[in-house]
Amino acid sequence: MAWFSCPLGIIQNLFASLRTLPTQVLISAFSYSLGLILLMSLALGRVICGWLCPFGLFQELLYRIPFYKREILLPYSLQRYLKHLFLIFFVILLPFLYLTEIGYGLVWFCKFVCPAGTLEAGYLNLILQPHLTKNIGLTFYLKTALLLGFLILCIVDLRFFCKNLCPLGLIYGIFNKYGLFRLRWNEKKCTLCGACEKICPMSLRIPKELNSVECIRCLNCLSICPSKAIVLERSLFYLPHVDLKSITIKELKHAKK
Amino acid sequence: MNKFLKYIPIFFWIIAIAALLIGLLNSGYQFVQSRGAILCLSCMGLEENEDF
Repeated sequence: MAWFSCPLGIIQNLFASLRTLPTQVLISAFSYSLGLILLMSLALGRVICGWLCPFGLFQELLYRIPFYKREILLPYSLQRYLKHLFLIFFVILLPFLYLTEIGYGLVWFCKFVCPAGTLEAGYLNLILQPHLTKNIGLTFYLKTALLLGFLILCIVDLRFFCKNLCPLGLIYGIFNKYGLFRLRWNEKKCTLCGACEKICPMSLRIPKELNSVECIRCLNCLSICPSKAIVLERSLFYLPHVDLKSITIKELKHAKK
Repeated sequence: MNKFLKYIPIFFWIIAIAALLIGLLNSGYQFVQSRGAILCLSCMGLEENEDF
């Protein structure tokens, strides 16, 4: 099972083992990690976030709970770059820099932050294997508190964790422009109704951010568009014309007035 | 420049497949397997004890 475990865990384990593993093992481990993550990013990318991630589904279900709803707007740069900070510090730097007495680093993001791990691995395994309760410690309570915080935020704002914090989504998202699946906006067909922007769970500005790092490929925009102005393309080649429209529907409407 | 840009995804695909093959053929996955129990416990947020 560990062959295809969480890619984020694989990356952290690689950085945590960098100073311990012999060079030969390190090269093969690096090749395996790079190949697996690149292949997943290119073949599916953030389609995984929109269609396969169980924590993403859980967040969508939570949002259906009738409760106070509001889009939590962090300052723009913080909203866009918080997950970059999580990736750099918790996934790369801390596992590499801080070593335990056995010579390996810790998988910081998994151990201290990841709410998906606490919920899907932690609580599920505690139910299935009650003898694991003797391993509960301070870290588990810390992660539970974080999980509860994230869950409340996800009830208020759709996919709060995906939007602001998930470093794995960031890795997949980097390949949104180069992956197999890309969205294309047809200016001639677009009636500027703005339905796509309203339905987007990631609050993207369309068409400017159609293939941006943030798009989770949920395809809501594609299905709601009355004039079929957004289409899903499959291509092994980079199509610059898909990404050149650095304008939003609001700006287009304003320009046409 | 645009001609070169067009082939960037192909370049990534070649790197991905080559790296994965090299990794699999040299048992690159074993570095995850060898620490499997500790990684699983970390993910769950549980502490290690004499059982692990």
